[in-house]
Amino acid sequence: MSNESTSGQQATRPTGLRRTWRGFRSHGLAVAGLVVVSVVTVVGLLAYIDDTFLGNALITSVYYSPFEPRFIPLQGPSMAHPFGTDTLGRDVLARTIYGAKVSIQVALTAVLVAATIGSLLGVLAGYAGGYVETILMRAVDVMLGFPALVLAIGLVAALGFTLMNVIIALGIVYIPQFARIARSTALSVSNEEYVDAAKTMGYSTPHIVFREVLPNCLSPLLVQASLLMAFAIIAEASLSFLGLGVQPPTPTWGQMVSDGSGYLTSAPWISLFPGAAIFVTVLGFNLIGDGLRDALDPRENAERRF
Amino acid sequence: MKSRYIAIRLLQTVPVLFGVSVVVFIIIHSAPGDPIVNMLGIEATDENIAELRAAYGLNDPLYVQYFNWLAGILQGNLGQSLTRNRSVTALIVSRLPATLFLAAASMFIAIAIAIPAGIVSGVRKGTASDYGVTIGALTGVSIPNFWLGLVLILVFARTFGIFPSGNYVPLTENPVAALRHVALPAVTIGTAFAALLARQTRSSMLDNLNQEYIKMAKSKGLHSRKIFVRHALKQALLPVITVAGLQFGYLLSATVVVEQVFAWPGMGRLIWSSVQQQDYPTVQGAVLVVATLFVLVNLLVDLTYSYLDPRVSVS
Amino acid sequence: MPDPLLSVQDLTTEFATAQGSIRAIENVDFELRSGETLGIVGESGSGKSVTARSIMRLLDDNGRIASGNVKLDGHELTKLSERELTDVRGSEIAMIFQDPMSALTPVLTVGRQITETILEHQNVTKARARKEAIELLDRVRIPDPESVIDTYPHQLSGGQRQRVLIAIAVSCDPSVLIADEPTTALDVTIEAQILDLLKDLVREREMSLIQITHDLGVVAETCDRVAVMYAGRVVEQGPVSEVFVEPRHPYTGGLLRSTPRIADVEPDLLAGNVPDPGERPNGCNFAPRCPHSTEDCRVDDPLLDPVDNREIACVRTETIGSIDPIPDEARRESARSETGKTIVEGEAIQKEFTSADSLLDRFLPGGDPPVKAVDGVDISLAQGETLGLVGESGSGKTTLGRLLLKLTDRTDGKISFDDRPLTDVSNTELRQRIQFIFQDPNSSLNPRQTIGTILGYAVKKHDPAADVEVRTAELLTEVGLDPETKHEYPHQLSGGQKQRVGVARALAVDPDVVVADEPTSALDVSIQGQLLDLLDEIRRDRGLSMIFISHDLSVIRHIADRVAVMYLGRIVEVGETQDLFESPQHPYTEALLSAVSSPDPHADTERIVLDGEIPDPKRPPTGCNFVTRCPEAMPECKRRDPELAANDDGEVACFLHHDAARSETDRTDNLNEDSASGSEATDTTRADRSGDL
Repeated sequence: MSNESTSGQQATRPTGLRRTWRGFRSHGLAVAGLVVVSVVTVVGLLAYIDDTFLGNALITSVYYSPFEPRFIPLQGPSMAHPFGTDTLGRDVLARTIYGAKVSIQVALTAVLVAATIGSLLGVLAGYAGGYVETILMRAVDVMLGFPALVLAIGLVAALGFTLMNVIIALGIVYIPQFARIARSTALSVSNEEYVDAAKTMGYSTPHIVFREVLPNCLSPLLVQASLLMAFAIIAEASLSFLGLGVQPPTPTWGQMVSDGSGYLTSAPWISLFPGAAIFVTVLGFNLIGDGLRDALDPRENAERRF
Repeated sequence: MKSRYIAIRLLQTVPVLFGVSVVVFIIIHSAPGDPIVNMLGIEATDENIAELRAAYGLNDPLYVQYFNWLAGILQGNLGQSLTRNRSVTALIVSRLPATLFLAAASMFIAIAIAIPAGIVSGVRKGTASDYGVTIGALTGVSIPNFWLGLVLILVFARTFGIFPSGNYVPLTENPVAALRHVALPAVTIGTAFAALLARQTRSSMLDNLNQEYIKMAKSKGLHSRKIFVRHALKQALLPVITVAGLQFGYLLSATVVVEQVFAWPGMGRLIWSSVQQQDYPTVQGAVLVVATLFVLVNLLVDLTYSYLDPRVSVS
Repeated sequence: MPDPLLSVQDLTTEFATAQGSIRAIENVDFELRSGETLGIVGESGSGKSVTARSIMRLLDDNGRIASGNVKLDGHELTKLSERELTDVRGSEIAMIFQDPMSALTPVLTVGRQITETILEHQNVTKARARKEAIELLDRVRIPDPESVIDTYPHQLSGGQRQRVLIAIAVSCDPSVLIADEPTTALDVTIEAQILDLLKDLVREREMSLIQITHDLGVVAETCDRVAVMYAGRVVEQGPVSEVFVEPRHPYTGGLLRSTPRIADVEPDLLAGNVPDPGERPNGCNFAPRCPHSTEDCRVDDPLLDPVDNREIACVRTETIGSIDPIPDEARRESARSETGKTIVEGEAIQKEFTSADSLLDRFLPGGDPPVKAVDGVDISLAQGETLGLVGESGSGKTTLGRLLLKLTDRTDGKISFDDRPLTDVSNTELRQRIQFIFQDPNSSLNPRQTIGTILGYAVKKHDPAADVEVRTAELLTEVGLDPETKHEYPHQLSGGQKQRVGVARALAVDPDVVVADEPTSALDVSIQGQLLDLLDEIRRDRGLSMIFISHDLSVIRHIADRVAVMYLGRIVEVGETQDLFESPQHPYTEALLSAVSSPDPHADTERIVLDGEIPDPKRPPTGCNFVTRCPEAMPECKRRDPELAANDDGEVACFLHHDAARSETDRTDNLNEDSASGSEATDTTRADRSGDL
């Protein structure tokens, strides 16, 4: 019984990673997203180095000091201050650069940790089935019964308003999302004959889970990871906008938007630029996610014959 | 046997709700700071503190406190606010309608925009309208809602004065004013929601149009409009319903932030202010109500889906 | 000669892909005359489906007709607009799709999908259309059409859905009907029903039919003329009675010679593979595999030239002449190695599956009853023999195979391996001594691992100290593959090659018993033979015992020493291959054998067409499972389950043959049989075995 389809595709293609990269590369927008995210990451890294090791020597006017007369509040954009200054005379551009540090840190760490833990739990649940699966998935259902931000607020309120706790809170919120996707992918992968074949060969369970099942579950998880990074940026910004995230004087984008909310007509640049920074970064992650989804789409890579 | 499916889903929801209440309880009770001390101020003596602790039952072991609380909930008693002189239930009841109205308005706007846009985009894949919708959706999903809200206020309220910047007016009081006041916040929340729905609709549409049964319908000589409406549309919209239900959680999250921006007296604002004031019973009650609402909405969506899709009869 | 009803000339269709423009079919020429049935036959990659869709203009978005024309009754179809086509499709020319599950819209009732066609082309009221739909359902032999009309597609069985597709296609009396592999997705006994139905309808409504298939037997039985396609081109065309008896194109000849047959001959296999659409050679597409090819063949694609009563695309046809479709070599009665003692034995094996999704589902009342996939099966395999396990869907053959390897746990019964109960055999030992070959080449190899990695794990498992490189190369050579294949990924290999890797993997641990689950079902006909020969050779070289599971009787004939026939979870007959095929005992075996179509158009086909569907495994009939469809059912059969009883010709579970049988309860059997054959009594109420004596 040979399967015939009616729109031809070549049978031979490059494999695995290279194939994905090729597909990704062909989407101009996705590459643009990658570029944007890379730039923001580099900026954040720069800020981190400056803050931790160089003592604000490189990027100045981030923190307010009443002893320095150069802090002139509410200045519009100019040569000296391309993004203007805020209510305390701090340079908005400099603070935006510093804001990148927090945002990227939160997004990358929270999502990567959540992805690792969540995927492992999900794959185990999907492969093992039975009581293990039921219990894990009920727990996931409970966690997913909370709107994401509401749960994050609750967690941060309980743990305290620090960078680490924001990361932990978001991580906890995202673990169930990965677990659910990992489980359903693992479930369908476990039904493939090669998993049965591995069982017939007598391979150990760790081998089957890690070498046979997991590698085939990665695609949707990767897509989800980049999309959740986008959400994480917004989530962190929302938390700091509400004053429930990283506390001043550490600059974060959400905080800056909040600070400027009272000066919308008189000094819109205070809110405008950090807001734009959030938008651009989130857009970048979303473009990467979309590009990955298209590149990894089994329909596009499927071998179809006449 | 649909009734069996319904029964199973209902029964499955119970442990979830139960679990939600446990999680809420645990989180709130891990919060730092002693609310009693905050309440009484720095002047409080140790006896006062001890007295009040006993009165609030804060000396009992944790699981006893939990069961007392749970028992109270089932009777409609969510406790007493620590910082405001009202019961938590009363507070929630006073705030809930505002949030529900806002959520409904946002959903309405989102669906009205997203579904037609997604359909057009999917049917006319690769054309200008498709790109337009796709880019619009990407933008909508990437804009932080608080920022969008501020921009909308700047443009429509301050500059042009078309819509007021927030302040809830109940529908029953003055319909026109109510709609005017909810416009900006609803658009703020609705934008991201619309973006999500539009993308989902589009991909669902695309999936559908590639199916064999569409080709089959064509082979029967049916006109494309008929094929589209009867064969493609209904089938394509089914998954969108599920997604809409899941993303309702997004709506609820968004209200926390957007109500802040627009000074909207709803649940979101309540949660925020209670966290600020360390009014933990209120935070507890409000989060519980929001989460329960979400779970029930998901259940409703599931049941609606099973009603509409003839293939779902066994679980 | 009157003008043909449908004429296709020089049709070329292209698809735009990431690799550029690919021509699926080129210069396709054929005619369909009024009232005749034309078969278009070819393997995968031949382009037969694309041809059908090009005629109907139902190509995917990236496809287009590059050149050529399609004339239906004088009208040029390729030039019509979509709007104009809606008048032609359905009313003048209709298509029956291959997979009935995906061709029917899930959210609309079956009736709606029929009536909308009628209402589109005919000026009738809704009520009248509904009435017509019910009549149509009745005409396609669906029982109880008044209620079926309001059901949804997923509620029907595969055979019923296919009938619905047929009903829709004929509803507006088109003059041309195109059936695209209408029976490929169906069981053999259902296939017989559908082909029979089609024949009837075509004759009754005076339609012309194009039958697209890869099955030569179907063509031989149902078609008047045939067009053979290879790699996108028509290579031979003419009356079936001539083409299949005296083929002239080397491909046609090769196809006929390599098809496994029930008759007593050894297939003569075609070497090589069908080329991919983008990799077709210069000159004749078949030249690389053709035993008669010369330099002349590689210059240009040969055109279809008329020769006698048909058309052939071969530059050397004068020289080659006609080819004998039947290979000469008489069937090698497989040099049977001395079969030793029983190595695997099963007694009263039972396996139930619950269809519960969740824990709650299992405990709440009112759910579906469990499925008895295997219901009391006795089976034995001797060392060195090949046991064929035959059955249609729902027979439980695959489940039985898996039970023997402990891939699933049995619900009841005993299985012993090497005289020891299976529970006493350690997993390590079991996994080394019995191995499994899987059915679907696209799913049995991990897409993310290279062949080398896949085999490497197996080799390491067997012997951690082994030299993986050397062993892998040895295994690949043993299954007829180039050792360099180990660098490739599964998607780079063809179906046949992937299956060979599957075999290599199973052999890596040096097993004693191999269970092969439909290893050839997903392969093209000409490749099937290659794989079967390989398996036979390996079995002999290594002294393996094999259980070969299949639904395809001609394949079983080719490879099995003994055959067990299964129906709905039970074994109904067991016997030596030759005996069973020449004189089957059980009525089901008879029907199964007669349903297999032979590529010989002159063969005498007294087909037994069974009534009805295979029963729902969740609700099997009381008494003999076959009673609902058995042409020789007796009242006795509804009351009791016949047991598998041995007689001179083998074992059979049927009351018809229990005269010769001497089982433990033979006395009571005899008494009951006497009384049953005497009177058409109202015996159905009696549930126990006590006779009325």
